[in-house]
Amino acid sequence: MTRNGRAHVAPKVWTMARYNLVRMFRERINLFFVFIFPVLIIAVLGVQFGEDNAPEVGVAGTGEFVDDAAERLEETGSVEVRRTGVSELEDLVAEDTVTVGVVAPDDASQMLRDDGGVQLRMLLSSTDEAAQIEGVVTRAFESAAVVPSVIGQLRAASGAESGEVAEVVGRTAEALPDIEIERVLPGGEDAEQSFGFEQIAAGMLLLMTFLNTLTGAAALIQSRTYGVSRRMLASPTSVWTIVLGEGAGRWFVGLFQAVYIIVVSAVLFGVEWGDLVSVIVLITVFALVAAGAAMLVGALMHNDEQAAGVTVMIGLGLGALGGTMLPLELFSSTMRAVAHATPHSWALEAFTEVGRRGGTIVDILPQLGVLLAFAVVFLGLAAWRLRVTLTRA
Amino acid sequence: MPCSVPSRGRTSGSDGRMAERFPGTIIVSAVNDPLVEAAHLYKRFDKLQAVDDVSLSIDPGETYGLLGPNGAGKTTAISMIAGLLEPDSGTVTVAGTQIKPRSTQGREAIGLVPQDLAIYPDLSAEENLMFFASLYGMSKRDARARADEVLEVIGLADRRKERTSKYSGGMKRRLNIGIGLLHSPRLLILDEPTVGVDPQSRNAILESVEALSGGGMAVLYTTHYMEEAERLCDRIGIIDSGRVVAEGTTEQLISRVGENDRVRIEVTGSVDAAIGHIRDISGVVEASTEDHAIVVMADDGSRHLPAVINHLVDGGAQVGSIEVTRPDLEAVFLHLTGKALRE
Ligand SMILES: Nc1ncnc2c1ncn2[C@@H]1O[C@H](COP(=O)(O)OP(=O)(O)OP(=O)(O)O)[C@@H](O)[C@H]1O
Ligand SMILES: [Mg+2]
Repeated sequence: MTRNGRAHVAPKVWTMARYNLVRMFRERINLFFVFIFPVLIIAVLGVQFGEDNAPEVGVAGTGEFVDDAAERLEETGSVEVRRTGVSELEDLVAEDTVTVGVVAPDDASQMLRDDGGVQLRMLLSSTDEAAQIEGVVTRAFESAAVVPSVIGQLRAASGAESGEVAEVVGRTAEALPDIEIERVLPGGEDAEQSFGFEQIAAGMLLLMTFLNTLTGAAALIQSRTYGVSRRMLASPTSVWTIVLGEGAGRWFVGLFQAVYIIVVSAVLFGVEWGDLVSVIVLITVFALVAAGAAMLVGALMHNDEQAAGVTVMIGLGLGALGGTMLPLELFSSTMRAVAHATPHSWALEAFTEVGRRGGTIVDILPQLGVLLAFAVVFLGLAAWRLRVTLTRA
Repeated sequence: MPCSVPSRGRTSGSDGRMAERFPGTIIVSAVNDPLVEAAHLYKRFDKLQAVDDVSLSIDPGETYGLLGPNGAGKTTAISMIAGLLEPDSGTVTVAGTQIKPRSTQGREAIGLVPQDLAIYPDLSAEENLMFFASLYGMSKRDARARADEVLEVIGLADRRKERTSKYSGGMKRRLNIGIGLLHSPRLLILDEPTVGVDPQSRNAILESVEALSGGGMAVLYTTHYMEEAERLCDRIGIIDSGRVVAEGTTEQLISRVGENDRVRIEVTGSVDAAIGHIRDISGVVEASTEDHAIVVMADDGSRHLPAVINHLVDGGAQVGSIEVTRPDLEAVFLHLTGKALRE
């Protein structure tokens, strides 16, 4: 490369990227993929995680005991409570809208105090969740019954005045120790969080960015079949510049989409991606890897429809292998080793570091280094292959 | 007219022209160096020797034609000269820089117009031009100014904003040429630029090539249309099966082959008496009769025409239409290779 040629690399890359994007958006469907598609992804994420889709438990009945039980149920966090009338509840359970229904007599609190017991009716829907929820519901009502029934029993046994007994029992109940349970998975990971939104969102983001950027392969193949790539090579433009320029357009698009998803999901659903600068650097490098892969496929394949199929396969395959669909924690150790052959797994690791452990850019330097190496290797192979292809005939 | 440039030894020819153009200047020897020098180029594809020891040199302002049939090796030779194909052996120097596929050096001296269209169909003519201008390192301002000029030259100024997929074949070809001109290269390589173009566009293309070479640009032009080669080219190399079998001006090539003019005269009445006299005219090589016509082969057909007609009239024949055919490159090619230029 001449000194003169080197000085022109940046403007040339910029020109190629710019016209690549101009050409891309003249195809109207691409407007959809770039601007609408990420919104759809965010919406899917939102539906899946932003909104609570816990099973519903219907409760019919009034009074202190029922209120207390309903509150305890809500506090478990695993169900939503709907207060309703008996006949309506029967319908809701019958049509599986409500997973489990509980019908308590209106004077349940009184009965507990008077007899120390009460009869509840539990309605189970035909869903699989009904059996799982049943235990949770039973426990909630049992614990709600403890205080009133102890009051009833004590008063009957001691003959003391009811208000006095209630006060003693209430104080005793409050003084009981709280038991908190932390669930832990092998490897010390926190069970609540390991299937959390952040990880799934990061996986989806990587999968999508990679897939979308890979479409740059078809664009390169088009330039080749139009004869334009060869003509570029006849100009004072090195094959490296051509590869960078052809890749840069899609790189920008991938990056734009990723940042867009990160920002919108953080604002709308409170997704915690962690340090924004680190995340953007990470996405930038990852999209560069994808652009390099796109150029390699574009230099290897001869026909853009064929390439479209191959890129989807590669995009999904590497994504699955790299843990963007299933958490890497569920992989066997062999598979985890294999996963490290994909750029996705390194990026995921970096996302975890930044998002969950509050890491900064310094903490993910190793992953960024590996990703950069991927990018350089892909781009280098693409340049080599493109030169061979363009100068053969 | 470029074609009227006399036969030329490389140095003497360019000396003369330089002196004419810049009277009083001292000509430094570097100025006289040919702009393009391709030496002993070879290229083999599997079993096929596509280019077999091709050497050529082109002076600044000269239009050099490579004339040959399909598959002769024109595109292969040109690709090596433009640095798009690595020769098996041989070297190419353009404007003093050796051209190599792995280096971008010397490329700005060359404008390549490939045989197959090399334009973006989803960009307009203007955008295509601006795109390539940037690849040739032109600034935005220069690019804009040059694009305007080029669009005028190729006659697309009024359609500049339209996507080229909507252009006619001829318009696309013109843009294909325009991109090659954009950065005002010192050498313009045109690979069969008129194939598949209607006569009107074709003429426009030829005219612009003439204008450009008049402006001092060296042109390397391949074609299998001998009329184009004759019209445009100062010097022609006839290429067949990868070898340049003859090289020179049209006149040189024709005289080298030693072909004669052919004069065909339609006659009524007897020619038996006249034919002997006609054969005796000095310069006439042969005279024979066809049905209702006499055919005379002579070194300079039109010069002998009055004498031939006199003999015919004296012999009592009446003369109808007369046709003089000069030997052309087609005949030269047939003579040299035993093949027709166009099959
Ligand atoms: N990449 C290639 N691989 C194999 N053979 C090739 C290749 N390129 C050209 N050839 C062969 O080399 C020979 C010369 O081809 P070339 O394209 O140079 O001819 P040409 O003179 O330009 O013909 P045309 O007038 O048809 O364009 C042909 O026989 C062609 O088939
Ligand atoms: Mg050709």
